[in-house]
Amino acid sequence: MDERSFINGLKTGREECFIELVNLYKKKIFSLCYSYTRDYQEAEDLSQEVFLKLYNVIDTFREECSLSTYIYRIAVSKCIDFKRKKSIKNFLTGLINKYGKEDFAVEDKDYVRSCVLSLPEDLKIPIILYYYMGLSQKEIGEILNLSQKSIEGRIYRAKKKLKNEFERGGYYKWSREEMI
Amino acid sequence: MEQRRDDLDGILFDSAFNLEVNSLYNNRLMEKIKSSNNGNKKIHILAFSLILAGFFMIFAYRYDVKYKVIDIKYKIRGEITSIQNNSTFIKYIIGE
Repeated sequence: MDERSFINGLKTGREECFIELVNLYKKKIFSLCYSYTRDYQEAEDLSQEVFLKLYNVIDTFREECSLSTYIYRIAVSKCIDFKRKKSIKNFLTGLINKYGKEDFAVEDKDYVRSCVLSLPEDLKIPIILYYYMGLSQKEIGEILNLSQKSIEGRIYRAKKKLKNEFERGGYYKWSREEMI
Repeated sequence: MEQRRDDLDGILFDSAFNLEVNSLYNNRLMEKIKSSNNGNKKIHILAFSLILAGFFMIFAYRYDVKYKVIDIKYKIRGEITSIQNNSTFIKYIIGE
């Protein structure tokens, strides 16, 4: 099914179109949400909120961008909202930095993920979308309303930060030696 | 133009989450959509009740409903007392 018929199907409220769309994107959206929540159930709820929002606002979709870009935009804004609410909640309950590095320094992959998650928001989102969701820099640019150059720059800066962090933690050196 | 991939790229790609979505995901989502539609109706009813309550309060304030209610209450109480007194008087006359 092409995008045009997808959008028409969604706008006319055809359930099978919506289900097909969910099947197409749920894994990626779920991964994105999981990288923010670090909890399976919360990630499921958050990703479902993304589809719920899409279902409710599809009538107002003006097709200025592709449907996938639109879905990812909703997902990114939902994840940022989740993080904001979580940080307020943590602040109120006195559990700031609940997802600190000490929670994840168990396995190498967890260590890398924790370093990625500790990046500033403007660097973290492009890294997650590029490496974890497999989107191209052009697509990320469209989602975040930025140029491809700017995304490239952000990924470069994020990598530099991560490299420093890995070297400080002794991870990168070890990893390189193993590769050789 | 995207840069050539290095070993750091490999590490980052490797650390991606490999998660499987629950098989009941779609069913739960459809349930949520249905309940959210019902939820909207509930919100409408609640909003309507609140607006109506607001109008009632304005009406009550404007026409001194509070005093009218008190007035009715004492009228009823007065009627009851007079009926009770009459029945006591009748009993007294009859000699009960």
